[in-house]
Amino acid sequence: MNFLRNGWYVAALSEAVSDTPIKRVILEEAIVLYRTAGGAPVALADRCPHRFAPLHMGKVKGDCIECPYHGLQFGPSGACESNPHGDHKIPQAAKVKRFALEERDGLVWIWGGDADQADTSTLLDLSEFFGHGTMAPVTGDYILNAHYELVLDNLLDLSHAPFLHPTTLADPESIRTLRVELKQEGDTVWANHFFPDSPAAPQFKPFWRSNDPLCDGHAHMRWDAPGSLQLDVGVTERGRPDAEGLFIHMVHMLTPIDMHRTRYTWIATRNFLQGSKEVSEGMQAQIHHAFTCEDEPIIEAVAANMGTHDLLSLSPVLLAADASGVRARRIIRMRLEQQDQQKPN
Amino acid sequence: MSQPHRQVRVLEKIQETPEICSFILVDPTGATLPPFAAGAHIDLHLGEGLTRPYSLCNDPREVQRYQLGVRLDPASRGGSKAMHSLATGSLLSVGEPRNHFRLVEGPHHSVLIAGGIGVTPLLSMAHHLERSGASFEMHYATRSIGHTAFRSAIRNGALADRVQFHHDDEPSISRLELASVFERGQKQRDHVYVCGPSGFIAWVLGYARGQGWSDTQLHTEHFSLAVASDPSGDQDFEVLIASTGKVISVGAKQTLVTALAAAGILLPVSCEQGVCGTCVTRVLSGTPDHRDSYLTPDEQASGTLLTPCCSRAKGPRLVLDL
Repeated sequence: MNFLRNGWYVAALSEAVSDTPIKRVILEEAIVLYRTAGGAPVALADRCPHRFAPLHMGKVKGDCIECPYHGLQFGPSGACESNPHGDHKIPQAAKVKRFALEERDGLVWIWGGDADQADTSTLLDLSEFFGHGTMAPVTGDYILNAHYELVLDNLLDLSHAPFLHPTTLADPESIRTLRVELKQEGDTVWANHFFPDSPAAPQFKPFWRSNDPLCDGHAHMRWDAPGSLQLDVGVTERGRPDAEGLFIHMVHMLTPIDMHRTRYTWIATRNFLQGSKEVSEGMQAQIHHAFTCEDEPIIEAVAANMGTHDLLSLSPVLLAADASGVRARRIIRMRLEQQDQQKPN
Repeated sequence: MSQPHRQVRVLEKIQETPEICSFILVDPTGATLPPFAAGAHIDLHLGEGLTRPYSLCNDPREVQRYQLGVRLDPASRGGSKAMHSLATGSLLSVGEPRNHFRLVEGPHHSVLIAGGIGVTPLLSMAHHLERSGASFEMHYATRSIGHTAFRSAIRNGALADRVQFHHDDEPSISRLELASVFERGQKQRDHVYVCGPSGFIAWVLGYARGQGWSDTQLHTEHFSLAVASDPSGDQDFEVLIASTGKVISVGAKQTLVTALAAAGILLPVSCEQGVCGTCVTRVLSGTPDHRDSYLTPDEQASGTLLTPCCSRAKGPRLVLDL
């Protein structure tokens, strides 16, 4: 087990966290998520220190979560706040691990390392990317049977889209003009995909009004460690700036469950027909279809075929479009090395 | 600009195998359907934004029906499940036929190699080739007889003696042996069409390429990625091998790796375009001209590493830690 601990991971869509507790496994740790009576989200280890019952099977009582087995109640700090048994004394050791949690932009984030070291300055601010809430978000949330780096490869290298998504996300002809640009600033990597002089991608086609049968397409993916990806995908009149055309701003958040499974959470917003429920539903269905019927089977089959999560150990024959995925991996490796060096012995 | 849709009716639905259903689609008014060429597919619009392409497998000369085969994917939450739940008589919305998998016309011999449900576009090709009297052979590989869609239609029709069945799990019937298929073929003349699961396609193409078949003779529904680079401004330079003191010159049209190989120094390479980092080598002096995407901006700026598969020198000489 080797994950980047010091980073923010999406634990859930905001809408999934309520006064009905849910369980999430993140970096091989079982976590219970719930909202207090005041509406604040809380993340605690999903294991009562008494007889190890999963707390997510219990109930929210005020600010606390009550263990379903014997009724111990734990508060947002993780400390036991109520013991209904005997003299009601609360043993010092009766506490569960607390996870640092932030809720922002429709997402509930958890810090992968010690809560005291959580660094909110490294948490992404997506409000501008999402048009400050004006952009009609649609969402999805899945579990994939693959190591998160394999999902990362899929998202950073969009040259697969004309082949895997010819009827949903990319026109099959667009591979002819595809140009990919790799950029790195600090530990942030961009894989900018340009599809000049191409037919509009299927997801934009119904909304693309132009006398020109061709357009300039773009799909620019930004990655921030460990698993946050922001996609700006759109079409515009040939030779015109991206902002004039139609675009979808979308985040893809990858959270390792363990070495073989990844939680994949996405939110997509758009700059067109924002008031149309029908367009929102169509977009949700199309993205859902592309991910679950097109990406998921191939990523899972690749993971099964590889038999290891370590891509480079298999000496793959890499293509130009793999550059960004390799770069992200190198950054992850470098940060893992730093993390190992900092570890107290 | 979106494609015109048309309504079609499911005239017949046949459970070909436990996983595959075939469908015959007709115009509800009995009109003729838009023509298609062998290898073409149509988009099926299945509601809720779901659109799936399916290859047409019938004879392209049949103008009043489209036939297709759909394999139920157990993991599917969409297309194949929606199709399998359709009943005879249902109406469906479809797009115009489109073709990304065309036959190359000519007097040459054609070899069609199908794996599983990949048989569908190749069947329409086989019908076309058979009707036009062209020379061709077809190989159809499946797990077992029970998993072979269209088996009885093939065996009882015009293609009966043109299709060779191969099964993995039938002791009495041979598996698909690529050696025998490609040994008989003529590399310069025959055209080979492959369709099936991606692993199957990769297996067949990998074998053919390994036997010296060129990509101009091999066809699938996939495209290929081309990488462009402009080597016109490249200059000669030389490298000094630190461990031996040997000096090797690198021509303008040569890569560093090939020049080193010619001098007996073989470096491991894989992608040959600066992506994978297999060949990264330490630079002791001189200024590298980085052409790779493997090294980070900091590493490139340090000038202490380079990828000799594609990178060069900015000055007359590099000293490499080899």
